[in-house]
Amino acid sequence: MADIPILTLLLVLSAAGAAAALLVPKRYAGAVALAFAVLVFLLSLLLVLPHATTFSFDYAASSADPLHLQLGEAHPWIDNAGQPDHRFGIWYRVGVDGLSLPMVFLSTLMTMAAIAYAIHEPKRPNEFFGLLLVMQVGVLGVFTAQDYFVFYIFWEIVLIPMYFLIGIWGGPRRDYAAIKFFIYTHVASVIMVIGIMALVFENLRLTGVWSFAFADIAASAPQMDLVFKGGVFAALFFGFAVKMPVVPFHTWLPDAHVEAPTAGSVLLAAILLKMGAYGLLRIAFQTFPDVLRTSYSWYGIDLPETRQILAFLGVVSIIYGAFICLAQRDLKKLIAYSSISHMGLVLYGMSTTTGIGISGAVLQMFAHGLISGALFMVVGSIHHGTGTRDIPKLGGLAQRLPLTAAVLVVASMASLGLPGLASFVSELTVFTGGYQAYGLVISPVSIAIPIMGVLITAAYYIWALQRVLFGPFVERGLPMHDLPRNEKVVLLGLLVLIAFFGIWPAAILDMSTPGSFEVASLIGGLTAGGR
Amino acid sequence: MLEHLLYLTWLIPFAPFLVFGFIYLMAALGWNLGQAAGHLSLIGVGISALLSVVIFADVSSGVALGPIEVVWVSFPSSGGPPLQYTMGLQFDHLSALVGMVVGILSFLITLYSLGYMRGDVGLHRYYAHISLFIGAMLGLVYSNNYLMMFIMWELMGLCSYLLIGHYNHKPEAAAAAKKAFLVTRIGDVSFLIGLVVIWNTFGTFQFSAIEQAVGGIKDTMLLAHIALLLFGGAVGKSAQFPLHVWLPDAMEGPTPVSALIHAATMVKAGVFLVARSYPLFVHADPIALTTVAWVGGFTAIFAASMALVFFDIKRVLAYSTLSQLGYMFLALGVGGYSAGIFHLMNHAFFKALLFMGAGACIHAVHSNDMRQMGGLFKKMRWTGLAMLIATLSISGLPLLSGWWSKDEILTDVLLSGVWHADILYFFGLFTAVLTAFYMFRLWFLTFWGTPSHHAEHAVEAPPTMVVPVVLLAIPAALSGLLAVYVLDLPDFLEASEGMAGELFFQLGAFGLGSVSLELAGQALGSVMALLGLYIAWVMYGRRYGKRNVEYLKDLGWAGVLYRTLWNRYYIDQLYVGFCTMVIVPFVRLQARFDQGGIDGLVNGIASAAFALGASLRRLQTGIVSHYAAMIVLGIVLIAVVGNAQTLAGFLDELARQNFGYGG
Repeated sequence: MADIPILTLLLVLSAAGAAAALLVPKRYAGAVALAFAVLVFLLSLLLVLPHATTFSFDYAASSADPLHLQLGEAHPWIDNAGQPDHRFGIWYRVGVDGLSLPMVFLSTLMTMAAIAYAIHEPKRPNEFFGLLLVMQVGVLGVFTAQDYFVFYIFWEIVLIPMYFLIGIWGGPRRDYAAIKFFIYTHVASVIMVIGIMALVFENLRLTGVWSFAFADIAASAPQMDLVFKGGVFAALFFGFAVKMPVVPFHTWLPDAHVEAPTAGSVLLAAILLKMGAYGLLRIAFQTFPDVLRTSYSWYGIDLPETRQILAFLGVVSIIYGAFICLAQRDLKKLIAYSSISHMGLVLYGMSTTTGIGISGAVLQMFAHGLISGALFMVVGSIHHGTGTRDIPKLGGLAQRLPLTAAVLVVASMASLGLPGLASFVSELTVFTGGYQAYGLVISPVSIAIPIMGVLITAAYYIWALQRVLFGPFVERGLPMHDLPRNEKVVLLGLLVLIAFFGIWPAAILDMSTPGSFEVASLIGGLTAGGR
Repeated sequence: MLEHLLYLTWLIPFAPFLVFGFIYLMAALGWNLGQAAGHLSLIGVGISALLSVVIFADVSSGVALGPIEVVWVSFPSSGGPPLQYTMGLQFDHLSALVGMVVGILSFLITLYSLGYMRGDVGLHRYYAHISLFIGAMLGLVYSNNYLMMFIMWELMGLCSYLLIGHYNHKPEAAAAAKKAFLVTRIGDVSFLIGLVVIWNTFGTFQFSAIEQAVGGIKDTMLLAHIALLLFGGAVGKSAQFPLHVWLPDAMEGPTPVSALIHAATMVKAGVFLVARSYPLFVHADPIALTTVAWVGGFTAIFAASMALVFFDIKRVLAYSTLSQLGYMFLALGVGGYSAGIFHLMNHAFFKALLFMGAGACIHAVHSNDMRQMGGLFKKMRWTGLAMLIATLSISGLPLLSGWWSKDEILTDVLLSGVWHADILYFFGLFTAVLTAFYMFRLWFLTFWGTPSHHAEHAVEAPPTMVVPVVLLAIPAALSGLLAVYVLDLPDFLEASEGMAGELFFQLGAFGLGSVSLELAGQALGSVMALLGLYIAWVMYGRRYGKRNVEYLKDLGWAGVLYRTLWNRYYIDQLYVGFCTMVIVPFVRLQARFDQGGIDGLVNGIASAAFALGASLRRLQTGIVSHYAAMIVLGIVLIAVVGNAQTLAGFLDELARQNFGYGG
């Protein structure tokens, strides 16, 4: 179908952009990086638009056979296929389906936005922009990989640029935050890789063939022992849960966000957190659909169904993350904690194992990417514009910084799920799925509790808006400025997109819905849109 | 109307939406439109209003229009047609009537704003938000499904928030905006849950499809759940007890906003929602309608009692709005579908007039306090006269519009068999006395007696403000008469849902009434209104300012009552106390737990690993003799723990290989 290896081209162009940004003279680094990011974005846009080119995503084929990979590429890498002592079966395998495509698009979009926002970065710009593009290589690799080995390599690539972004360009406690981020998520990755190796060896034992391919292992997974699968699921889930992050594995996140430079925070919230949720859906759900509906017993204690455990963690994240936002004084920390709450909604949506709930979760991932990116940017702008992010020290900004204020209002409204903006339909569909799976009040994971998150979310945003933007202006004796031109363009552009995907959510749902319903039917959850 | 022309009706919500978008686009490009934004809004709203009138003319003359619909989101369903979220408009009698009322009032109030808001620094914001609001309200009225209704509902909530906080440098306005958003949000969550349950019960959000399917659902408790969840949304939006606390504070917004959003239109959305969902309510377990009736009836008397004591003219009107909304819910709850909508329409006219008139007075004396007014009738004849008509009308004096609908409501209560209809009837009747009293108290305090020194230089407002007020006096006086004799409203409305017969059959289960009882009830209603008027005349009119409720303050038990009313039954304090004394300490504790507990554990593991590493590091001294000692120690350890024989063999082997000798 595709003559052009478009996905590889995206990776190569990102890497080339990183190299170029490192090599060009300092004052061109931002412009060169932005040029490459725009190029990659435009390519991914062509990929997403129906029928634009030969390498565009085929929506019709996707709804006929949802989890069939499109634009796939497969080349042997660490493999001696055909030899008598066949070893390793590691291939460079990439491809997309309707579940990964929104994430690919989100990654290129938000990387471009982050680079444009930070284009005037004065401190070591070559390395700064180079690292942002290296990160893009990593996340695009994660969202397109179809081989565990490739997946894991890209997964680890992402860590390194983020570590340096926090450690070099970060705030006063950057060393602490960077190390904590690295070690915490790396420990999680190591546990994940133990799970992956166990899977590969079990597959080898069952089939006699080395393979790291997602598809091969998913094919032999039904023959694996249910307890073994439960253990592997737990290992993988731990890796993903730290990344998402799920309460109680979340404490690296506020530290990392508070210290990270704005562009780093944007990519962290908008894209990196999605890797965890995406991994859960792509690997854990599709390889072990049966684990989700199994009730394990652990040292004689009968546990609920695995999906209910996930749902419970989702509910805890939603409520815990939302409540703790009410106590924050640092605006950036507030936004950071709100991500925990919103990613909890993603976990909850997936755990319903209903088609509508999973497609809502994917939409929520996309929407949260746009919205949290915009929120971190506007908080960065407030910090630049006023010299502080401390809520009690702010006040009445709407009078002096009307544009900043307007952006903060719209982004907050989007984040609290206002209809017409991006995250409303995702909330509605997630809760619809939740009702199908768990009812209204009959169990601890019924929708009655998580839906209260909607209310608490409104409370912390509206309260923060009141304290930051409204009331009498607090004179701080500092020069203040409204949005500079590049920040203005980026933020207004993001707001337009937030409104666009709110008014036309089908743009994302048309990609994600068929695959979500297919995953749901693999698991044996409800597949109907209603009833 | 030709079929393709029907698509023009999308302009009803979208003409104002486009104006909203255009104003902000210009603002983003650095061009503040100022007063021109007002003219643009007026054009946008004018288009919508005109279309809404045309639609009403068509629908009332029996032309069937629409519905028009587009697919929004589609989900696959196993073995059936895909399930869809749709966006669509429907033009039945209910939406045509309410839409026309909203359209006309929106136009008049936008016109009024041109005068009232002139010179404000945030004019472009104001008109952008007003336009967005009007589009959303009309979109809600004409929508043909719950999802679109909810979307419009939330957009209105946003506009309400932004407009209450229009003077956002004032801390009170900012606080009131926050309160309005959060309190209504409680109701919105209920509505949202209702949406989820509706979708999972019916597989659609369309009113018509649900109306057809609802008869086939035997689980009346499920229907009651849905109905009550929707009603929860209505309680928030229409500010019924216990979520009534936001509306009086919302008066911090500009007066045209109070007139349009917090009196005539948005707060009616809850009533409209219940009316729209009437098939659900009627088929549900009677607990649903009973709850509606009781919440409405209680709010009517409860809010009216608070309206007795305040001096802020807008605040009195706000409590009055709460009380009148309570009447509407009471009507719907006892089965008086047409009475509820009838009162909705009448109230929209006279309450919009009252707010706009109050705005003119505030404009004239630069204060909301009625004690700063007084004697304005001589200075502002047109406004005073129009306000008098509206006051008479809301009090329910015979033949004026409020009389028709209020009597119909009281009659419906009397005839219904709802749980303790007798108490509800008493609530309704007593509220009528209170209404007449506080409304005439307001009118006398404002327009009667001798002017306070603030009011001495008051002059009539400019024509853009007076003309809409005077124009509104016509429907405020006559809408009841016209609706009954020209439109034949009860038939008109019940034909719209195609459920007249069905409805009355259902209501038969509630109770039976008699004609003589009905007549007695009507007469009693009018007597009560006159009674209230008379008391107000005695206390505030005849001997202006001599003897009035404020003197109760120092009178023993009456003083307690007075202070209770003045403190709004302490309910606001209760809510604030809950937030500051329960929620805030809780989240602070949680934040400490997060830092000290969870993160403390994480850091504790890290420090333990670090400490282990630090102590093990001492083993790596770099001194060869230490390593040699370690090797010997290791060998000894293996010898002790492991098999000594094997060790001996191993040493032998080692010796033979390396040194060429051994055993």
